[in-house]
Amino acid sequence: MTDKLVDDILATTYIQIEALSRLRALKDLILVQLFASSAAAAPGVGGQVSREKVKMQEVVGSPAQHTAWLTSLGPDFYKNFTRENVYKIFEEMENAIKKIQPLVIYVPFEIPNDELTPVGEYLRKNYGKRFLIETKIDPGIIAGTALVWKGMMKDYSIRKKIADNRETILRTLKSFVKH
Amino acid sequence: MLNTMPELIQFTIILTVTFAAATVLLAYLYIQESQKRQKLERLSPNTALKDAQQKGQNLIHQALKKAQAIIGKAELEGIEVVAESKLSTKKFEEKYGKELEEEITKAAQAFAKYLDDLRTQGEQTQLLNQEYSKQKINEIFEKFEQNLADFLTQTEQKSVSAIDLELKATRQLIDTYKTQQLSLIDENIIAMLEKTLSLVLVNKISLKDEVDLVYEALEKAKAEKFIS
Repeated sequence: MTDKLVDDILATTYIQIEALSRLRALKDLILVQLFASSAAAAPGVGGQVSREKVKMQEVVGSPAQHTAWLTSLGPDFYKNFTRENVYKIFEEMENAIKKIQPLVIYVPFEIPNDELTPVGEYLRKNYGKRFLIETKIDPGIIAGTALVWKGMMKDYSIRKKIADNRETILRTLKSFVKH
Repeated sequence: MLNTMPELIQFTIILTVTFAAATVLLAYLYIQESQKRQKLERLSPNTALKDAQQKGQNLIHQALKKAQAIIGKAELEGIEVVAESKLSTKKFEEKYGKELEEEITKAAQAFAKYLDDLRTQGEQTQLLNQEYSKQKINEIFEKFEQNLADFLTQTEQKSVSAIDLELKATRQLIDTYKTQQLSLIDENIIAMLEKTLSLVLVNKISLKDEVDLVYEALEKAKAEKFIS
Protein backbone atom coordinates (compact mmCIF):
# COMPACT_ATOMS: atom_id res chain seq x y z
CA MET A 1 0.00 0.00 0.00
CA THR A 2 2.80 2.37 0.90
CA ASP A 3 4.45 1.81 -2.46
CA LYS A 4 1.30 2.81 -4.27
CA LEU A 5 0.96 5.88 -2.11
CA VAL A 6 4.59 6.78 -2.84
CA ASP A 7 3.99 6.28 -6.55
CA ASP A 8 0.97 8.54 -6.34
CA ILE A 9 2.98 11.18 -4.53
CA LEU A 10 5.88 10.95 -6.95
CA ALA A 11 3.64 10.88 -10.07
CA THR A 12 3.96 14.65 -10.52
CA THR A 13 6.95 15.28 -8.28
CA TYR A 14 10.42 15.02 -9.84
CA ILE A 15 12.62 16.77 -7.32
CA GLN A 16 13.46 14.96 -4.11
CA ILE A 17 13.41 18.02 -1.87
CA GLU A 18 10.07 18.98 -3.27
CA ALA A 19 8.80 15.45 -2.75
CA LEU A 20 9.76 15.57 0.90
CA SER A 21 8.25 19.02 1.27
CA ARG A 22 4.99 17.85 -0.28
CA LEU A 23 5.03 14.83 1.95
CA ARG A 24 5.31 17.04 5.01
CA ALA A 25 2.46 19.23 3.83
CA LEU A 26 0.36 16.13 3.18
CA LYS A 27 1.15 14.81 6.62
CA ASP A 28 0.20 18.07 8.28
CA LEU A 29 -3.06 18.13 6.39
CA ILE A 30 -3.97 14.55 7.16
CA LEU A 31 -3.11 14.91 10.82
CA VAL A 32 -5.33 17.91 11.04
CA GLN A 33 -8.06 16.04 9.28
CA LEU A 34 -7.73 13.01 11.46
CA PHE A 35 -7.15 14.54 14.85
CA ALA A 36 -8.22 18.14 14.80
CA SER A 37 -11.64 17.81 13.17
CA SER A 38 -14.41 15.43 14.44
CA ALA A 39 -16.23 15.39 11.05
CA ALA A 40 -13.21 14.26 8.89
CA ALA A 41 -14.13 14.66 5.27
CA ALA A 42 -11.85 14.18 2.30
CA PRO A 43 -11.16 17.30 0.37
CA GLY A 44 -13.08 17.81 -2.75
CA VAL A 45 -16.30 16.15 -1.41
CA GLY A 46 -19.47 18.14 -1.74
CA GLY A 47 -19.84 21.49 -0.15
CA GLN A 48 -17.01 20.95 2.22
CA VAL A 49 -14.42 21.46 -0.51
CA SER A 50 -14.01 25.15 -0.01
CA ARG A 51 -13.94 24.74 3.77
CA GLU A 52 -11.35 21.99 3.46
CA LYS A 53 -9.46 24.07 0.96
CA VAL A 54 -9.30 26.88 3.45
CA LYS A 55 -8.07 24.40 6.07
CA MET A 56 -5.48 23.18 3.67
CA GLN A 57 -4.26 26.67 3.08
CA GLU A 58 -4.03 27.23 6.79
CA VAL A 59 -2.01 24.08 7.21
CA VAL A 60 0.32 24.30 4.26
CA GLY A 61 0.88 28.02 4.37
CA SER A 62 1.23 29.42 0.87
CA PRO A 63 -2.06 29.13 -0.96
CA ALA A 64 -0.70 27.89 -4.28
CA GLN A 65 2.46 26.02 -3.32
CA HIS A 66 1.07 22.60 -2.50
CA THR A 67 -2.66 23.21 -2.57
CA ALA A 68 -3.05 22.31 -6.20
CA TRP A 69 -1.00 19.19 -5.70
CA LEU A 70 -2.84 18.11 -2.60
CA THR A 71 -6.10 18.61 -4.41
CA SER A 72 -4.85 16.68 -7.41
CA LEU A 73 -4.32 13.60 -5.29
CA GLY A 74 -8.03 12.91 -5.22
CA PRO A 75 -10.37 11.80 -2.41
CA ASP A 76 -9.48 8.13 -2.76
CA PHE A 77 -5.95 8.92 -1.78
CA TYR A 78 -6.92 10.28 1.60
CA LYS A 79 -9.08 7.24 2.42
CA ASN A 80 -5.95 5.23 2.97
CA PHE A 81 -5.10 7.05 6.17
CA THR A 82 -6.53 6.31 9.59
CA ARG A 83 -5.56 7.40 13.01
CA GLU A 84 -3.94 4.06 13.60
CA ASN A 85 -1.76 3.84 10.52
CA VAL A 86 -1.07 7.46 9.62
CA TYR A 87 2.27 7.79 11.38
CA LYS A 88 3.50 4.43 10.22
CA ILE A 89 2.55 5.11 6.64
CA PHE A 90 4.20 8.50 6.59
CA GLU A 91 7.34 7.13 8.13
CA GLU A 92 7.52 4.43 5.51
CA MET A 93 6.84 6.88 2.74
CA GLU A 94 9.46 9.27 3.97
CA ASN A 95 12.04 6.47 4.20
CA ALA A 96 11.11 5.25 0.74
CA ILE A 97 11.56 8.71 -0.73
CA LYS A 98 14.82 9.32 1.10
CA LYS A 99 16.11 5.96 -0.03
CA ILE A 100 15.81 7.00 -3.64
CA GLN A 101 19.19 8.21 -4.90
CA PRO A 102 18.57 11.32 -6.96
CA LEU A 103 20.51 12.48 -9.98
CA VAL A 104 22.27 15.68 -8.94
CA ILE A 105 22.24 18.30 -11.65
CA TYR A 106 24.61 21.24 -11.29
CA VAL A 107 23.43 24.37 -13.03
CA PRO A 108 24.98 27.86 -13.20
CA PHE A 109 21.83 29.63 -11.97
CA GLU A 110 18.54 28.63 -10.40
CA ILE A 111 16.02 26.99 -12.72
CA PRO A 112 12.38 27.08 -11.62
CA ASN A 113 10.83 23.72 -10.81
CA ASP A 114 8.30 24.18 -13.63
CA GLU A 115 11.13 24.26 -16.13
CA LEU A 116 12.54 21.11 -14.62
CA THR A 117 9.29 19.16 -14.96
CA PRO A 118 9.93 18.19 -18.61
CA VAL A 119 13.42 17.11 -17.57
CA GLY A 120 11.94 14.95 -14.82
CA GLU A 121 9.46 13.43 -17.23
CA TYR A 122 12.21 12.66 -19.68
CA LEU A 123 14.24 10.94 -17.00
CA ARG A 124 11.23 8.98 -15.70
CA LYS A 125 10.55 7.80 -19.23
CA ASN A 126 14.11 6.54 -19.58
CA TYR A 127 15.01 5.34 -16.10
CA GLY A 128 11.84 4.50 -14.13
CA LYS A 129 8.81 6.06 -12.47
CA ARG A 130 10.52 6.76 -9.20
CA PHE A 131 13.50 8.62 -10.68
CA LEU A 132 14.20 11.82 -8.82
CA ILE A 133 16.58 14.71 -9.42
CA GLU A 134 18.26 17.32 -7.28
CA THR A 135 19.53 20.64 -8.52
CA LYS A 136 22.50 22.55 -7.17
CA ILE A 137 23.82 25.94 -8.15
CA ASP A 138 27.45 26.23 -9.24
CA PRO A 139 28.26 29.49 -11.04
CA GLY A 140 31.72 28.12 -11.81
CA ILE A 141 30.44 25.85 -14.55
CA ILE A 142 29.58 29.03 -16.52
CA ALA A 143 27.02 27.28 -18.71
CA GLY A 144 25.79 23.77 -19.37
CA THR A 145 25.55 21.21 -16.60
CA ALA A 146 27.41 18.66 -14.54
CA LEU A 147 25.77 15.43 -13.41
CA VAL A 148 26.49 13.42 -10.29
CA TRP A 149 25.13 9.89 -10.15
CA LYS A 150 25.93 7.43 -7.37
CA GLY A 151 28.99 9.40 -6.33
CA MET A 152 30.38 9.67 -9.87
CA MET A 153 30.56 13.01 -11.64
CA LYS A 154 30.30 13.78 -15.31
CA ASP A 155 30.98 17.35 -16.33
CA TYR A 156 29.29 18.56 -19.50
CA SER A 157 29.73 22.23 -18.69
CA ILE A 158 31.56 24.97 -20.56
CA ARG A 159 34.19 24.92 -17.83
CA LYS A 160 35.03 21.32 -18.66
CA LYS A 161 35.12 22.09 -22.36
CA ILE A 162 37.55 24.92 -21.70
CA ALA A 163 39.72 22.64 -19.56
CA ASP A 164 39.70 19.90 -22.20
CA ASN A 165 40.61 22.30 -24.98
CA ARG A 166 42.99 24.35 -22.92
CA GLU A 167 46.03 23.82 -25.14
CA THR A 168 44.07 24.61 -28.31
CA ILE A 169 42.61 27.74 -26.75
CA LEU A 170 46.04 28.90 -25.54
CA ARG A 171 47.60 28.20 -28.90
CA THR A 172 44.87 30.13 -30.66
CA LEU A 173 45.11 33.08 -28.29
CA LYS A 174 48.93 33.14 -28.52
CA SER A 175 48.75 33.06 -32.30
CA PHE A 176 46.59 36.17 -32.13
CA VAL A 177 49.12 37.81 -29.84
CA LYS A 178 52.02 37.01 -32.22
CA HIS A 179 50.14 38.49 -35.15
CA MET B 1 170.39 24.05 25.62
CA LEU B 2 167.33 22.57 27.08
CA ASN B 3 169.48 19.80 28.71
CA THR B 4 171.85 22.32 30.49
CA MET B 5 169.00 23.86 32.42
CA PRO B 6 168.77 21.06 35.01
CA GLU B 7 172.62 21.14 35.41
CA LEU B 8 172.51 24.84 36.12
CA ILE B 9 169.81 24.39 38.59
CA GLN B 10 171.72 21.55 40.16
CA PHE B 11 174.87 23.72 40.37
CA THR B 12 172.94 26.56 41.91
CA ILE B 13 171.44 24.26 44.49
CA ILE B 14 174.87 22.81 45.36
CA LEU B 15 176.33 26.29 45.70
CA THR B 16 173.51 27.45 47.84
CA VAL B 17 173.72 24.41 50.07
CA THR B 18 177.47 24.91 50.41
CA PHE B 19 177.08 28.58 51.39
CA ALA B 20 174.37 27.64 53.81
CA ALA B 21 176.49 24.94 55.38
CA ALA B 22 179.42 27.28 55.73
CA THR B 23 177.26 29.93 57.23
CA VAL B 24 175.75 27.51 59.70
CA LEU B 25 179.20 26.25 60.66
CA LEU B 26 180.49 29.76 61.23
CA ALA B 27 177.49 30.65 63.22
CA TYR B 28 177.80 27.55 65.33
CA LEU B 29 181.43 28.23 66.00
CA TYR B 30 180.75 31.83 66.89
CA ILE B 31 178.04 30.85 69.28
CA GLN B 32 180.22 28.24 70.87
CA GLU B 33 183.00 30.76 71.21
CA SER B 34 180.84 33.39 72.72
CA GLN B 35 179.43 30.94 75.20
CA LYS B 36 182.90 29.90 76.17
CA ARG B 37 183.94 33.48 76.53
CA GLN B 38 181.07 34.21 78.71
CA LYS B 39 181.86 31.18 80.78
CA LEU B 40 185.43 32.18 81.04
CA GLU B 41 184.58 35.71 81.94
CA ARG B 42 182.35 34.43 84.67
CA LEU B 43 184.85 31.86 86.00
CA SER B 44 188.29 33.65 85.73
CA PRO B 45 188.31 37.17 84.81
CA ASN B 46 192.03 37.85 83.93
CA THR B 47 194.61 35.47 82.27
CA ALA B 48 192.37 32.51 81.75
CA LEU B 49 190.04 34.81 80.06
CA LYS B 50 192.66 36.20 77.86
CA ASP B 51 193.90 32.74 76.97
CA ALA B 52 190.46 31.63 76.21
CA GLN B 53 189.91 34.68 74.19
CA GLN B 54 193.03 34.08 72.34
CA LYS B 55 192.11 30.48 71.74
CA GLY B 56 188.76 31.45 70.66
CA GLN B 57 189.99 33.99 68.25
CA ASN B 58 192.42 31.44 66.88
CA LEU B 59 189.58 29.00 66.45
CA ILE B 60 187.48 31.60 64.77
CA HIS B 61 190.34 32.51 62.50
CA GLN B 62 190.82 28.88 61.58
CA ALA B 63 187.16 28.40 61.06
CA LEU B 64 187.05 31.42 58.86
CA LYS B 65 189.96 30.14 56.86
CA LYS B 66 188.36 26.78 56.47
CA ALA B 67 185.09 28.32 55.56
CA GLN B 68 186.77 30.53 52.98
CA ALA B 69 188.60 27.51 51.62
CA ILE B 70 185.28 25.59 51.38
CA ILE B 71 183.65 28.55 49.73
CA GLY B 72 186.52 28.91 47.28
CA LYS B 73 186.40 25.23 46.52
CA ALA B 74 182.67 25.38 46.06
CA GLU B 75 183.03 28.35 43.75
CA LEU B 76 185.63 26.58 41.71
CA GLU B 77 183.51 23.46 41.51
CA GLY B 78 180.57 25.54 40.55
CA ILE B 79 182.49 27.31 37.85
CA GLU B 80 183.72 23.97 36.59
CA VAL B 81 180.19 22.61 36.46
CA VAL B 82 178.96 25.67 34.61
CA ALA B 83 181.83 25.47 32.14
CA GLU B 84 181.22 21.79 31.64
CA SER B 85 177.54 22.33 31.10
CA LYS B 86 178.16 25.17 28.66
CA LEU B 87 180.58 23.00 26.79
CA SER B 88 178.22 20.05 26.64
CA THR B 89 175.41 22.31 25.54
CA LYS B 90 177.53 23.73 22.82
CA LYS B 91 178.53 20.25 21.65
CA PHE B 92 174.95 19.12 21.72
CA GLU B 93 173.86 22.14 19.74
CA GLU B 94 176.60 21.59 17.24
CA LYS B 95 175.80 17.90 16.96
CA TYR B 96 172.01 18.02 16.69
CA GLY B 97 171.40 21.53 15.42
CA LYS B 98 171.88 20.69 11.77
CA GLU B 99 169.95 17.47 11.99
CA LEU B 100 167.14 19.33 13.71
CA GLU B 101 167.09 22.00 11.05
CA GLU B 102 167.10 19.39 8.30
CA GLU B 103 164.31 17.52 9.99
CA ILE B 104 162.37 20.74 10.50
CA THR B 105 162.86 21.63 6.82
CA LYS B 106 161.77 18.14 5.76
CA ALA B 107 158.75 18.32 8.00
CA ALA B 108 157.87 21.77 6.70
CA GLN B 109 158.17 20.57 3.10
CA ALA B 110 156.06 17.48 3.83
CA PHE B 111 153.49 19.61 5.57
CA ALA B 112 153.42 22.06 2.68
CA LYS B 113 153.02 19.18 0.26
CA TYR B 114 150.27 17.76 2.41
CA LEU B 115 148.55 21.12 2.47
CA ASP B 116 148.83 21.39 -1.32
CA ASP B 117 147.42 17.88 -1.74
CA LEU B 118 144.67 18.75 0.69
CA ARG B 119 143.91 21.97 -1.15
CA THR B 120 143.82 20.14 -4.51
CA GLN B 121 141.62 17.45 -3.08
CA GLY B 122 139.40 20.07 -1.52
CA GLU B 123 139.07 21.95 -4.81
CA GLN B 124 138.24 18.72 -6.64
CA THR B 125 135.67 17.79 -4.03
CA GLN B 126 134.22 21.28 -4.17
CA LEU B 127 133.93 21.03 -7.97
CA LEU B 128 132.28 17.61 -7.69
CA ASN B 129 129.89 18.90 -5.03
CA GLN B 130 129.03 21.91 -7.17
CA GLU B 131 128.34 19.68 -10.14
CA TYR B 132 126.22 17.35 -8.02
CA SER B 133 124.32 20.25 -6.45
CA LYS B 134 123.66 21.75 -9.87
CA GLN B 135 122.42 18.42 -11.13
CA LYS B 136 120.18 17.94 -8.10
CA ILE B 137 118.83 21.46 -8.29
CA ASN B 138 118.09 21.00 -11.97
CA GLU B 139 116.28 17.75 -11.24
CA ILE B 140 114.28 19.40 -8.46
CA PHE B 141 113.33 22.29 -10.70
CA GLU B 142 112.29 19.97 -13.48
CA LYS B 143 110.18 17.93 -11.09
CA PHE B 144 108.68 21.08 -9.64
CA GLU B 145 107.81 22.38 -13.10
CA GLN B 146 106.23 19.06 -14.01
CA ASN B 147 104.21 18.93 -10.80
CA LEU B 148 103.14 22.53 -11.18
CA ALA B 149 102.07 21.93 -14.77
CA ASP B 150 100.09 18.84 -13.71
CA PHE B 151 98.52 20.71 -10.84
CA LEU B 152 97.56 23.64 -13.02
CA THR B 153 96.09 21.31 -15.62
CA GLN B 154 94.06 19.46 -13.00
CA THR B 155 92.92 22.69 -11.41
CA GLU B 156 91.91 24.06 -14.78
CA GLN B 157 89.95 20.90 -15.59
CA LYS B 158 88.23 20.90 -12.20
CA SER B 159 87.39 24.59 -12.50
CA VAL B 160 86.02 24.13 -15.99
CA SER B 161 83.91 21.15 -14.97
CA ALA B 162 82.66 22.96 -11.87
CA ILE B 163 81.76 26.00 -13.95
CA ASP B 164 80.04 23.76 -16.48
CA LEU B 165 78.02 22.12 -13.72
CA GLU B 166 77.07 25.52 -12.32
CA LEU B 167 76.06 26.75 -15.75
CA LYS B 168 74.05 23.62 -16.32
CA ALA B 169 72.29 23.97 -12.97
CA THR B 170 71.65 27.66 -13.60
CA ARG B 171 70.26 26.97 -17.07
CA GLN B 172 68.07 24.28 -15.60
CA LEU B 173 66.83 26.67 -12.94
CA ILE B 174 66.13 29.29 -15.57
CA ASP B 175 64.28 26.76 -17.71
CA THR B 176 62.27 25.55 -14.72
CA TYR B 177 61.43 29.12 -13.75
CA LYS B 178 60.49 29.95 -17.33
CA THR B 179 58.27 26.87 -17.54
CA GLN B 180 56.65 27.70 -14.22
CA GLN B 181 56.03 31.30 -15.20
CA LEU B 182 54.63 30.30 -18.60
CA SER B 183 52.31 27.77 -17.00
CA LEU B 184 51.24 30.44 -14.51
CA ILE B 185 50.54 32.77 -17.41
CA ASP B 186 48.53 30.02 -19.13
CA GLU B 187 46.56 29.44 -15.94
CA ASN B 188 45.87 33.14 -15.70
CA ILE B 189 44.76 33.26 -19.32
CA ILE B 190 42.32 30.39 -18.75
CA ALA B 191 41.08 31.94 -15.51
CA MET B 192 40.52 35.25 -17.27
CA LEU B 193 38.72 33.49 -20.07
CA GLU B 194 36.47 31.62 -17.62
CA LYS B 195 35.79 34.82 -15.70
CA THR B 196 34.98 36.70 -18.90
CA LEU B 197 32.68 33.94 -20.08
CA SER B 198 30.95 33.71 -16.72
CA LEU B 199 30.33 37.47 -16.75
CA VAL B 200 29.15 37.54 -20.34
CA LEU B 201 27.11 34.32 -20.50
CA VAL B 202 25.18 35.14 -17.33
CA ASN B 203 23.54 37.98 -19.25
CA LYS B 204 23.46 36.30 -22.63
CA ILE B 205 22.34 32.74 -21.97
CA SER B 206 18.58 32.29 -21.48
CA LEU B 207 16.72 29.82 -19.29
CA LYS B 208 15.60 27.90 -22.35
CA ASP B 209 19.19 27.65 -23.60
CA GLU B 210 20.31 26.35 -20.27
CA VAL B 211 17.58 23.75 -20.13
CA ASP B 212 18.54 22.75 -23.67
CA LEU B 213 22.10 22.33 -22.47
CA VAL B 214 20.80 20.14 -19.63
CA TYR B 215 18.94 17.97 -22.15
CA GLU B 216 22.05 17.76 -24.25
CA ALA B 217 24.06 16.62 -21.22
CA LEU B 218 21.42 14.03 -20.32
CA GLU B 219 21.48 12.69 -23.87
CA LYS B 220 25.24 12.35 -23.71
CA ALA B 221 25.00 10.66 -20.31
CA LYS B 222 22.47 8.21 -21.74
CA ALA B 223 24.68 7.50 -24.71
CA GLU B 224 27.63 6.91 -22.39
CA LYS B 225 25.42 4.81 -20.09
CA PHE B 226 26.44 6.99 -17.20
CA ILE B 227 23.02 6.75 -15.54
CA SER B 228 21.70 3.30 -14.92
